[in-house]
Amino acid sequence: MGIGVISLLTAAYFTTGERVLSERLPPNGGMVGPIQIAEPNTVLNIHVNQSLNLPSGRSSFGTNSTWSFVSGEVLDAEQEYLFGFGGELWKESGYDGTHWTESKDDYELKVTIPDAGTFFLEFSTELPPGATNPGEIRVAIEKKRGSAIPHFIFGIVAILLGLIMRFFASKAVQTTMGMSTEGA
Amino acid sequence: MRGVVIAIVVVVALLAVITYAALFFPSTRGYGYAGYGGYHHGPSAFYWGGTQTYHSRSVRAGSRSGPGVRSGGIHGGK
Repeated sequence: MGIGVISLLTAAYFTTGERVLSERLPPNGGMVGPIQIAEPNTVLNIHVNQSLNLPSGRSSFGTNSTWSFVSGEVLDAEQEYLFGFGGELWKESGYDGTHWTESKDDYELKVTIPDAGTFFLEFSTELPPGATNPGEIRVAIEKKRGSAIPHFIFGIVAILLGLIMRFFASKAVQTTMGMSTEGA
Repeated sequence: MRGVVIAIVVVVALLAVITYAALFFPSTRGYGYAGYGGYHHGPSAFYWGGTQTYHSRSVRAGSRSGPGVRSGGIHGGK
């Protein structure tokens, strides 16, 4: 069980890192970079944020909503497409006895860059017709120490296995003690 | 009986330590995230919480936010 806890702590260690870049882009997107990757298989955490402003007026549901789909593309040094990602951000408000507002204004993902070199990220947005003054896109990129997944999974499995083994070990000891008492 | 239990515990502990050490190989190589093993590889099923990724430009073309993705806020959809 101890190795399980050590494994979870190791997983936590791999989630730490250092910020390598933080940029603000216009609401419709733009290019981020260059990002220098010194070693192959570097893990980057990409955090994307855009604040949205609600339009005036309400829908037939009595709510007021807006959204923005922010997509990004990972590009190489020649600005050739490698892979992409995207996520929807939204904001909605309404009234059901009290005023409420709910929103999702950011997303993040971890990616592994298999090669060393220079990379760029290109962002673009899709907005609903009549979207009012969406905010700037803020992108923060953090270089992680590695992937937390293997040690996290192993940590959980090891702790569960440890608990099961402890249960059966105590049962075995009890049985042995019972047999020795009967023998006496 | 007690000896057998101790032997099992020692063997399992040794296997656990070996496995723990061996896992540094995939961990330091970014296992499980999009791009691990090549740019065309998506994230593993063990990675949750990240947003969607696309590994082919043609899949994205002509469809807002890729295949099967709802858009337009929490009341929206395709």
